Amino acid sequence: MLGPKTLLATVPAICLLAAASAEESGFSVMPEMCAGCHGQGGLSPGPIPSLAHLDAEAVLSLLESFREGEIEATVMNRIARGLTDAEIASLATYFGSLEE
Amino acid sequence: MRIRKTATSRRKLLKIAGASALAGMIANRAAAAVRGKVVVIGGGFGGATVAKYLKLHAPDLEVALVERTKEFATCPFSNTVIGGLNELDFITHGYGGLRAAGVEILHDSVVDIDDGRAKIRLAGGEALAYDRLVVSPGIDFKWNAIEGYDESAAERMPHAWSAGSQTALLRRQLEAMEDGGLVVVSVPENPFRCPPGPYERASLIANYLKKTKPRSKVLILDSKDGFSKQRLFEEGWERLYPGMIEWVGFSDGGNVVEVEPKQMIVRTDFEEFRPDVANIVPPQRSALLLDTAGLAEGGDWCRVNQRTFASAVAPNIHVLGDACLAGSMPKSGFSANSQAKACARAIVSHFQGESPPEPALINTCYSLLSESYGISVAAVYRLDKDNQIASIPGASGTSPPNAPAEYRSLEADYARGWYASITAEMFG
Repeated sequence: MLGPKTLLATVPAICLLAAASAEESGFSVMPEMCAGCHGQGGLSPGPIPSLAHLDAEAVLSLLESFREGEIEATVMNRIARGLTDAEIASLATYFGSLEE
Repeated sequence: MRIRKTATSRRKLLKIAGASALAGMIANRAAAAVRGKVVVIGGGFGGATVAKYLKLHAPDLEVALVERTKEFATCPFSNTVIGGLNELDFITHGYGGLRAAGVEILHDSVVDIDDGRAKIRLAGGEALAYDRLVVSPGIDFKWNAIEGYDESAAERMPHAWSAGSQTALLRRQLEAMEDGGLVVVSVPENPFRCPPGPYERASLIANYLKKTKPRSKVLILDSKDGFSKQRLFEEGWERLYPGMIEWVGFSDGGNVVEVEPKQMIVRTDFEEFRPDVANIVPPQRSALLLDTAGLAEGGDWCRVNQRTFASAVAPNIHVLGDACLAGSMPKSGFSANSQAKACARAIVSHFQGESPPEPALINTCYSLLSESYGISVAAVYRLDKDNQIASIPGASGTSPPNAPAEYRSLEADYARGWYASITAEMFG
């Protein structure tokens, strides 16, 4: 059961999605898949947390925690379970590189 | 908690992640050399998004978007207008942002797709040539599939399943209804646009009626025996609107077969109802325009390559959104937005002479049951062994049942946040 305290802890939640198959394509991940919720360039205009201010290590740690269920979020536990280690690392690097 | 960027941790992460190799892979390759002409039909979630991202990835690409309306009213969040939480203006967006992004916007209707000559013809007489065509025109209704339900019937019994004047009409009818009235919402068989939409609508209608006309009822007549997020909707209805919403599935006689709009009669296989407001969501198919190029192959929907969204029968034409068959993805605005991003990458790869990337796609559908009660279903999709888009086991599912109020409230906030983000992305 999720309590309010756990939920508050997830407010700086992040949502990410990656694509695979770097060998076959020019793009290994599609960080724009996250923009539908978290805003273009990681800047969210509404109540969903922005990502642009996060550094790469924080993104990596949050995504891994969501995937392993160590932090209870809303949709991010479900979505992070679809990501591989390499994708999480790639997305962390990408979002870490954004300017605030 | 705000975690600020620091140079140190960025360096550390780069090391963890394999340094420059990964950083290089995710950088958008500046595609300045990419030249060509892409025409996009339809300025909704699929079309607006693909146009935007084509210009972002390849600024020198010529991108023209043809859309009938100068202002686009979104189906997502139209239920909040019907329920009186927002005005129609809130869900209505112009194309200034896309124009500023370098997309040529033409407000016109397409009358013909001539793929043999790689041209489309507009109602205004103009012909547009393309190297690649993206078609994201959404749905058309199967008029008279429910006997008596045609375009004129929709003026009395609105579908409100394309947003705008129909949304406003249904809202006006609810406002005019007396306390103690009956609202019928009829739901078609699968597949149709926005599977949880009718149930969100019933919820937000009940939310309005509870405040203003509490003796009224909402009756959902369904052509199916189950529905999206059913357990969560039923739990919410019990909690928020006890006794106000009744759902009748197919086996219990919920299948609407006939309407008589003048008499306000709705008939199912077994019964006859005389509601005060009838919201008939009719059966659907891909937009009829697609038939001018045979893209639906005589059926209802368009088969596409699941990696590039190129039509199975016309490889220079990509079909996105509600009109296409995208494996197990639902027909939602979020799905169309994801598909458009994969498609934009695929088209740029094509012009670069490279293989298209393998997409991982996402869909999250939020539904509001009240201002402070939201639920969701989310999934990540990849190509399966048969090259069909399929949800990843373990990476999909709904909000938990029996969650505390804070959870539902947070998801209601995130529903509003999603709408703010995705519409800013498309139209901003």
